[in-house]
Amino acid sequence: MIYLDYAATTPVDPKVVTQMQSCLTLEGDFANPASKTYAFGMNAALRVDQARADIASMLNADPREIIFTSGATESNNLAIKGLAEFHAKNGQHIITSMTEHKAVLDSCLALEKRGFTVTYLRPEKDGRIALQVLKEAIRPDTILISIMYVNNETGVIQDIDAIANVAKQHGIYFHTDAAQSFAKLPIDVQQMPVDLISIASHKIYGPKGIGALYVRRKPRVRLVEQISGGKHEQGLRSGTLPTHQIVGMAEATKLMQEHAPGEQEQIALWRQLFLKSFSEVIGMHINEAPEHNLPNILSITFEHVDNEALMAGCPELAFSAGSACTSAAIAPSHVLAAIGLSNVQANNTVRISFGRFTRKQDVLTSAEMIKNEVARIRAMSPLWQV
Amino acid sequence: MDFYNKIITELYRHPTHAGELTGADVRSTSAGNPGQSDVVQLQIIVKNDNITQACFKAHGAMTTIAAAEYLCQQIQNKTIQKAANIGSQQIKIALDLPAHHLSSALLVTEAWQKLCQV
Repeated sequence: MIYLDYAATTPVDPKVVTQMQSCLTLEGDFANPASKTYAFGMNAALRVDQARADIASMLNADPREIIFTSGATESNNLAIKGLAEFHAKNGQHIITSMTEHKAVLDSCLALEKRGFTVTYLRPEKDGRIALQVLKEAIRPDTILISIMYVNNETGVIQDIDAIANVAKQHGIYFHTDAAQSFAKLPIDVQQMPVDLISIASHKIYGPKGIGALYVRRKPRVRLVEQISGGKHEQGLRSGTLPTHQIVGMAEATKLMQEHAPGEQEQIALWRQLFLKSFSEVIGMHINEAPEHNLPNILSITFEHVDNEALMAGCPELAFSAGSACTSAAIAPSHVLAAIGLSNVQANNTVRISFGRFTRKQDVLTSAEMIKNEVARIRAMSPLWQV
Repeated sequence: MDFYNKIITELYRHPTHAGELTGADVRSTSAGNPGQSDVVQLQIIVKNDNITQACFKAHGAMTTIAAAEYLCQQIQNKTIQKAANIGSQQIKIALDLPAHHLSSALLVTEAWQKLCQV
């Protein structure tokens, strides 16, 4: 099997596993980091403190600005619902985009049910939000703009620096979902006026079930907690801190720093090499914003090729459809629809994503397999004319 | 593990009736709306009342390809009279089709019924 779905999740780096294992058993730092009255707990708290500092340093942030959550989905919920609830008296309008992750869209829908109004910006054909379109959507009662850094289906990078500055000029809070970009693209919170950043561990070879929300302290961004309990994480997110998860996420972050920038360049080469195999193939389209795309995510539309059929025809490969599916029905991707693809085109789209453990032979083999299957499916189609 | 069951996957991956027949004695039909749904083309050659060759081309979901392959396997070497009653229900059961892909069985049956009239 060749794994080509690093945008969905990544395998945990063995070095991360080693660090995590040291926080689980009696001999290790297993204790509750909140139990600081004895050495076990203090040692666990020290591990959490160090991890918090390591993760903060990736954003050039103060460690106290990092709030641990169960992942980017929870971070998005806390950022959007938490901010909206706290600032509802100042305004009830939110701006986001049509191509956001479901965690952002669904949080916005939940707020609509509570009386908020949400503007969902349509991106340009290349998937990027035009600044002018954003500016025109701003109203006097707009309290929050939430735009993702990198799209999970296409890899398209938004100009969040410019968007953050527009938000700041208008006195509007700015949140970005950086689940796909964290530790791959730089964010310096001392330079960029972003207020809230959602990050995840499992996209960077860390464990699933842990993420964080960056919450700016100067000027302070106030939120209403979404999970009540023992007032952990400065009262913003209750629940015993999972030391092993947090330490794992920090180790994964440090490894990203160690591997960068060579790793990203290598992945960009794999993208080129993969696409080179398709130079003779007609009827294909790459859904991307050239010059503004994360190289590890490759969204390709093959005309006349059903994506489920393509996946089933390549049982040795693990890649995904461009569409999100549930067990009962397969719905066309909202992201691809927003950038102008028809339902048919969306059903002809696959997402291939490379990562740290992708080898040259994997790229060549998978390209060959996919190319052959595309040709086989087209040869069976009564509509395909060469 | 496959997303679809073994029967569908096997029919889809290794069809023996995919392709096109040519010649004056080929009976041909198709069903489906290009651009809006899956499309199936069925072809047969009948000699002495017997279907000596059956062939398909299919565009769309793998379940449609699998259903068309299954139908061709079932009708080949049968008389039209005997094969005419092969329909959606038989295809659905034989392939253990998921509910949201029932349209594949309906489409192939539509093409087959049209071909029986030719």
